[in-house]
Amino acid sequence: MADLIIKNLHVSVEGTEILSGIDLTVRKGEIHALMGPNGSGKSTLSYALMGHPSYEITQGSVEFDGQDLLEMSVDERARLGLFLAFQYPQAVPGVSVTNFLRMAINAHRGVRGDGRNDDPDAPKPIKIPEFRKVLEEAMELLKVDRDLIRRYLNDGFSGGEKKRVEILQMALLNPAIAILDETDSGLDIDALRIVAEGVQKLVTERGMGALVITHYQRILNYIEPEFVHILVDGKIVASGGFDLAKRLELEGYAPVLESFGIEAPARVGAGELAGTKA
Amino acid sequence: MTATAGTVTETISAPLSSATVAQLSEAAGDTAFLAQRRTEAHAAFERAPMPTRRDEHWRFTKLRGVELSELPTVVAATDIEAARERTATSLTSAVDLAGELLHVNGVTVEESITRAADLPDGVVFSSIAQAAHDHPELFEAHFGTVVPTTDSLDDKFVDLNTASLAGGVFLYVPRNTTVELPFRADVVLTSGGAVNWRALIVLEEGAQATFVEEFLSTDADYAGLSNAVVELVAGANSRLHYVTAQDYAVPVRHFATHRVHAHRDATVDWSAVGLGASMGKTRMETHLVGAGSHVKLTGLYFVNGTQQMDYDTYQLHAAPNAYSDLLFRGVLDDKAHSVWRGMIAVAPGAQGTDAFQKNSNLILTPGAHADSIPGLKIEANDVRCTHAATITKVDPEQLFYLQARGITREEAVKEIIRGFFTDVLDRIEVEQVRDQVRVAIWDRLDA
Repeated sequence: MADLIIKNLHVSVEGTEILSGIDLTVRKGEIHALMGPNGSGKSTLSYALMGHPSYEITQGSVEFDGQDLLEMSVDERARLGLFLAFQYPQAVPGVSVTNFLRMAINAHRGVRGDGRNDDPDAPKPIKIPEFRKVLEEAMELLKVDRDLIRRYLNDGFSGGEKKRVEILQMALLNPAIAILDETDSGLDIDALRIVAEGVQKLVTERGMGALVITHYQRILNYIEPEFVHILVDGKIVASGGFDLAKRLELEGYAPVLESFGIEAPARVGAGELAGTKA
Repeated sequence: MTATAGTVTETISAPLSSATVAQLSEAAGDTAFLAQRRTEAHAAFERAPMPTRRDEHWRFTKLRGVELSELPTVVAATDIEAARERTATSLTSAVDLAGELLHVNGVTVEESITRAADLPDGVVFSSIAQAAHDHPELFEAHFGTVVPTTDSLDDKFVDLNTASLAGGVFLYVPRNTTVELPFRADVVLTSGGAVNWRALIVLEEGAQATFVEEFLSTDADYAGLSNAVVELVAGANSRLHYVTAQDYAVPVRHFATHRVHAHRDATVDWSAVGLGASMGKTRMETHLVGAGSHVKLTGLYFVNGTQQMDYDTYQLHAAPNAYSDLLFRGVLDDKAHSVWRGMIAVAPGAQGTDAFQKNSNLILTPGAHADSIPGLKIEANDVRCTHAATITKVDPEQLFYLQARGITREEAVKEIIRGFFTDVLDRIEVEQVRDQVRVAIWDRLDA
């Protein structure tokens, strides 16, 4: 089983501890929501899991598909089926979305370089007609504009365009576990619905596991998580079912946290903690 | 004086002197005009001081070991078959052509010259020696007008080129005549040789043509010297595409002066590709001498090891309402070094000038180094001039992003380089050449 098992994970950035002991297990086919105010460490968790060099793991372990994730390079993690939908996708001028997608698919197939190889058993690059077909399907599902994939990767894209292309990549790369880092930010309500339905479809039809990181509750109207976790100051302070997210929406963070016997951090104002603020 | 051009078949291994100049003039069957130009150039060469690193335009140039006083006066074409084989895998080899010419070391191989059967009337594509004999009016009206002989140290190598002349190409396209397919010249250095190359390209008013030249060598380990002078005349309302690619073996040292005169409303699209040579000192000059002329210059270089690429570009706006746009991009690996020094000069009276220059460098290793020095000298008041220079490393965030999609670090770096070159490649308007250069660079990345 390609489960993601995080145990007592401590992460520092430039010597400052941001995550102070995260325990979390995401199994295939499960949807988890990780909620929390700005600065609680949500994005740090996503970058650390993907292996960004600036995020230093000081303690703990992460197992993915039965292997030690922390020992792997960034690309090995991806090829094993871990996907991160970035909050701020990087522009790569001069590299067209189409070429990049084909390259990423081939990388996942284990193709080296341009795939020219004398070994008959070496992995083969995706054939152009097949690539076109899967690309068309994914574009249709996510309502991605044809012009967008001819452009350079994220170069001059609007926030919404970037997010759609992230989810397009996810649909094509078929990960076991996807981390969606604030995918909802920058999307208008129609785009949010399309993207969320796409994620839901991958979970239902392909058994993908998802860790949906969000500041706001609104994406959860379209993706219904079985598990909801609240992250405050680098620790998961409360976990529950979907009703926990609903309570956050109705009551705001502070009362919910209090009901778990946790005091909301003083530096975070009430408005910041209101789950419904959008 | 013989009636027909002679092909120089013997190397004159003694260095340049009055005696060897006379000997070469005889062997080459010089016309009176060429003999006189040769003698003048030799005298200027003797007067012009050898540049040193104290001279402004030679500050970064590694001149140590370049002993012009020991250079043979001329090296004959040798190993012609090997040279021909080398051209089969040149950057521009698969291009359909209007004409082709092979030049080996100092001498053009007359038998190598081919011309499409359907060339329009009046088009001349021949060796310089032959052109001087067959078309003296056309030839003498233009030779040395764009890149003249002077006593300046900056023209020391130009003077050497003219004094040692034993080959080169003359392309002439008459008024309102269009040649669709490119003309190509392959300039090849063979083992033990030295290259002396001259090109004179003349487009009359309303003419259109494409000229592609490529510098190559047959021996990967041979450290020869190469010296090139290219004169381009873009007549009024003409349209010239010019591609110059330098893919010498790494030990070669290459000096070159390329200069275009763009006359009224002429359009020039000029691309320069630099991949080879241990040291390349290249002047690329655009003189916008006619009102409304329009020149686009694109440069691309990709160097590694201890290669040094040294470009000196000059955009002279001598007439009003002219447009020039320069973009040079380079990728540097290992301990490679690039120098780009660009100058936009706007003469008094060149109102309405629109001029750009930009140089960007992508540095792959801490040992690689780029010097990027843009300059402006403006003597008119109604102008728009912009310049920019950037030196960047591979962006770790771009790398992380690509790796997060399963692409290995090595492949991700290559993809970022490909992306970096895409903009400059897209500017090369000669489609076949653009595609070939792209393939060649991608192959080099995988090598």
